[in-house]
Order: sequence, then C-alpha cells, then structure tokens
Amino acid sequence: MSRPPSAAETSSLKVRRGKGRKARFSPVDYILKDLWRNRSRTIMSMSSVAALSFLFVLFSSMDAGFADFFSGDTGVPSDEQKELYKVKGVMENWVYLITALSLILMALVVSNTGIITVVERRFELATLRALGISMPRVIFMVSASLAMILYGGVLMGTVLGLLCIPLLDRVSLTLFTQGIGFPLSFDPTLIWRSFLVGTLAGAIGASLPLIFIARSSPLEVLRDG
Amino acid sequence: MDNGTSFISVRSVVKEYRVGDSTVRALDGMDMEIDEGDMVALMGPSGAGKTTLLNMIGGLDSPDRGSVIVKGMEISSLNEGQRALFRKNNVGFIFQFFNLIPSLTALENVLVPVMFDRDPPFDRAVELLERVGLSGRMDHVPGRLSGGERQRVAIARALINDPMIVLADEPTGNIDSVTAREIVSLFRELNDEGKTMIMATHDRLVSARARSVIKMRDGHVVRGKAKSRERIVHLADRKASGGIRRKVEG
Amino acid sequence: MERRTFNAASYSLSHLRRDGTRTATTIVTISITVAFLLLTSSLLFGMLTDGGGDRKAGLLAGDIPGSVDMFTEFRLDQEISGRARNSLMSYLLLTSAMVLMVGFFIMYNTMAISVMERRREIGILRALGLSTKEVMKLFLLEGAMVGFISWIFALFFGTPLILNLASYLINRGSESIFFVMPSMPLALVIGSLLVTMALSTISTYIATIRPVGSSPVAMMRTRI
Repeated sequence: MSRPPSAAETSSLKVRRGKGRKARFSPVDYILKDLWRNRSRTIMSMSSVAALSFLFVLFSSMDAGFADFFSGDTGVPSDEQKELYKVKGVMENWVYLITALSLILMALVVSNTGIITVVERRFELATLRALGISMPRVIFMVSASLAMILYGGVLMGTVLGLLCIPLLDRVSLTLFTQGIGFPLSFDPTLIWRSFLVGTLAGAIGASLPLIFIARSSPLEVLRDG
Repeated sequence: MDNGTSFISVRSVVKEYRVGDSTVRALDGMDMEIDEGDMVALMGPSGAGKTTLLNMIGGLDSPDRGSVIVKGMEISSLNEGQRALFRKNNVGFIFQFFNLIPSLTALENVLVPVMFDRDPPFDRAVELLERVGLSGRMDHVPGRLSGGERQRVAIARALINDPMIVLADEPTGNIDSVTAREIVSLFRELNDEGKTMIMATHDRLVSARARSVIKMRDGHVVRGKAKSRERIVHLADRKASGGIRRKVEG
Repeated sequence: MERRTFNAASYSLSHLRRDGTRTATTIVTISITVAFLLLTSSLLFGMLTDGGGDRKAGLLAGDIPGSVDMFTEFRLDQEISGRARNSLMSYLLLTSAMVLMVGFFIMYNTMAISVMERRREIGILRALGLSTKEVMKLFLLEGAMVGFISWIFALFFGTPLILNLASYLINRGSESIFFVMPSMPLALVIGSLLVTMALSTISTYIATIRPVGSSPVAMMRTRI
C-alpha cells in the first residue's frame, strides 16, 4: 500500500515544477501575492507616500538651490550677506514645515493602510496563528508588507523628485512667476534624508496597527468574525 | 489505559467567556480521555462547548481552571509562543469555513504553515494535494474552487506537518452530502494511518463513521460511548512510510 | 429624548454614536487632512493677497510698494526676497494639489475601513429588502455627516493653529526680510467645506460601490 515516491515520480514532479510552478514558497512570496491581490490599494498608498516624498525633495532642493545661488557670490557686502542669511533662514523654515507636513500625512497613510490590512485580513491573520505561526512572525509579515509600500513610495517619490527638478526648474516657474525664482539644485544628502523621514513616519504610523495585532486574540476573531 | 497517561486528557476544565455583561460558561468541569489513534465525534447542540474544547486541545485557547494534557505535555501551561510551536508540530486544524488565504493558490495554501521553515516540504504538499484528489487544481486560487475542493485543500494544509492530532470543527458544515461522504472517508483513512481525529459535528454522517461518539451538553460530557474498541492502528507502518500514503487511484 | 421617527438619518446617527471609537478615529484622521489642506491653501492665499490691489501689477514682491517696505536699503535683497516668494508661491500651488490628492486617498481609506467592518451589515440590509440605491444612500449620508463634522473640527481647532503656530514657525527669526501671513478669507472657508464634502462623499461612494453591489449572501459570510 504505502511506499515512498519512486524516482520516476519525483522527477516528473520536478518537470512539472519547471513548467512554471515555483519550487519554493516563502513569506516574501506570500507578502508579494497579497500586495498584488490588493494592487489598487497598494498603488494608491504607494503613490500617496511618493507624493509626500516628492514634496519633501522639492522643498529641500529649493533650499539647496538658494544656498547654491549665493555660494559663489563673493562681492556682496557683509551687511547684505547677513540679510541673505535671513532669507535662507526663511527657506529653511519652509523646509521644516513641509517636512513635518509630509511626515504626519505619511504616518497617517501608513497607519490607514495598516489598519485596513489588519481589519480586512483579520481572519487570515487569525488563521495563520491557528496554524502555528507565532505572533511575532505575523507581526513581521504585516510590517514587512507595510515597509514595502512605504519604501517603494519613498523611492518612487525621491527618484521622481530628482528627475523632475530640472524640469520643474524651467516649467513651473515660467508658468507661474514669469521665470523669476530660484534654481533648484540637487543635494546628495536628500536621498538619505527622505528615507529617514519615511522611516520615522513608518515607525509612527505602523505602531497602531501592529499593537492591534499583538493584542488581538485569534480565537475571538475566528469565533465572532 | 486509564492510568493518567492517556494520549489526550482533559481534566476538570472550566472556561468562561464574557458576552456583553454576562458570562457564559462554555466548559463546566469537563473531563475526558482520548486514546491515541481514536476517531472521536463530539456531538451536541450549539453552545455545548464543542468548539471551545477543540480549541483547548489544539492549544488555541487556555482553560480558566483545570488542565489539558496532550502527549504528556500540559499545554494549558505553555505560553503563546510555545503554543504556536505546539500547534504547528502536533495539531492540524480544519475549520468549518475553510479559512484559506484568498490570494494564494491551493498549493501555496498547503505550504502556509511551513513557509517560515528553511526548506518547505514542497514535494510533500504536492503529494498531499494529489492524495486528496486535487492534482489538477493545484494552481487554482480558492475563489475558483468549490466548497468541497476548498475543504480538501484545508485538509491537505492540516496534514502538511504530519500532525498526531487532526481537529475538525464542523468539517461538513458547508458542503453537500456527497462531498461530505468523501471527506469522512478520507478522515477514516487518515485515522487508519494512526492519526487521532477529533471532530465537532452535528452531522450524523460523520458520527456514524467515528469510532467513538462523545455527547456534550452545557459544557460537560453527557455520554461517552465507545463504538468500537479494536485498534486498527498501524503505528509501525505509519512511521515506516513517513506518514504518507498515496491514494490508489481508480 | 424620544425619537418618533426612524429614517435613514437616524440610522446613520445612531450608528455613528454607537460605534464611537471608530467614528472618533475617522473624524480625527479626516480633520487632520482637512487642516493640512487649509494650511497650504491659506498660506497660498496669504501670499497672493498681501500687498493689496497692486498685486496684479507684477508678482515680483520687490516691485510692490508697501508690501516689503523694509527692503529700501538693498536693491539686491528686494530682488532676492521677491524671488524667494515667487519660488515658494509656485511650489505651494503644487503642494496644495498634492496634499489634496493624498487627502483624498486618506479619506477614501478611512471610509473604506468603516465600510469594510460593516460588510455583514450591508448584507443584512440587502437581505431585508433594501435596494442597492437605498443602502448606498445610507452610507453616502453617513459619509457626508462625517465629512461635515470633520470640517468643523478642522476649522475650529485647525485655524488658530494655522494662523498662529504656522506663521510663527515660518517667519521665525526673519521678520525683517519677508513675512508670510496665512489668511483665511470667507471664500476659503466655504471652498474648503465644499471640497471636504465632495471628497468625503466621493470616497464613500467608491468605497461602498463594490460591497453594496455584490451578493448579500456572500456579504454575510465573507470567509473563504
């Protein structure tokens, strides 16, 4: 009756696997499939994060552009230089304001997406726990999928921002201000700064849904729905 | 075998739930012993505590008082992490509503409990699905499977870790009677291989083919009757074959 | 207080009251979003309107008499501060548009959460004989209520913050260079109400259309 699978059978399995079935199935596959299933939401969350990242990049390069504009200026009297630094201070204030704004909104986007995940997939998460996957691992999976959305968005926004800076420099200024404004300039530290803002926002935003998971009992979810 | 070393023993277990302002006593001093290789049907009206008992044995729930001992291990005293490990290695859960993951294919659903392992037993998942008769539908998502097929995927998933105990909560509650019959036959087959099956059910079809029937009411055993006591458990055979037997087709 | 009628509005109201925590979270979330919308647009308004009627003469702030009168000493500074204003203004327009987009998404998500939690309820209502349109009306009404309450919160708690804190933060340490005073004209107040109501209703509609359209039986038993 019972016998271990013969060599012919295992080889036939391998052949079938070769025709498109993956031989491995890991939590990463699981997360990617879930993001793909909810692709409209994934795209919306990602593009929201991207838009906020883009704003951060834009205002930071405006600040950098201002700094660049005057860095070569040597013939300015010291009194004027002082006043210029004050204008620079204003620009920095704007950068802080926009950073704070994108941080808070990004955190809201992340926590919203996280809460949707936790609410919509509560059966799924409870089932995973009933099947013997420990709570830290479930939390890991949810935070990994949130991190993918977040860093995907930050990457998109930063790259888009860096690509658009030369374009914006010409188009939007001429449209709105008859070509009089400050040149935007690229600042390499922007890249890690925008990822830092993203990380901070993610940490703030993800905490609520993750606490939700940690405190939920799989039993109650499976029983009451 | 009543020397305190039964395979599963439930001792004076009390469990209460808060529902709104009142407390409901789901289990009220439950005492029960289940032998290894038994196939038990838990019968009783809704609210008799069948599901609660299954969850206790499966380590999903812990009792307020009393103890649940499985394989000499007191699971009521394990912490959450240890219980997750216990569930993963010893228990296979089959739910009434299947609880499959909608975005994953049948094959991937079977692999979910072991996805964090370094080397998930891919071939075993394929074999299990072939065994439950789903060889042609491994790449289908649950939305494209019928109720019976979903339940078979759930059964394959419960078996992926080769558990000693399979717990099924109303396994035939959401499928037609022809499919239900096939699924009960499959349970019987698994039981013949030495798995201890415990099923909470209303279905006469299921209880008729169980080895023992335990009737519950209001959180305790009303009547526990062993239908057949001969053990046709081929433990040695089961171990030799690694717990897997292929269904002979045709 | 005894209610004699029971209609769609009382249904929505009693739901909002009973499910207080969720309602509060939704309102707080949407209020923050609306407050940010108010912030960016009031700054834009402030920049556009200060300087009086001569605004149209030219956007270069240095050219406008009275608006930046502290710049009489250095011609260069006038030009620079004018350029800074212009840059800020054009990018603020972009910012407002993006905050609007993100705000819409946040609202949609928030509405989607509350609809998702009530799928079972939608199924029951449909099973009891309410038409798709009626269920939809119920949810749209509720979305509009939430939008309105959030707007009130944003206006009454957000405006003082915007007018004081934001303008302080922006103009910190630079009063003598140029000064951006956020302004909140009536047009902005009314406009923000319209935008908030439109966004919350549209997002509720999008979030509800699929659950309401699908089979009530499936809705009452959503586990796969």
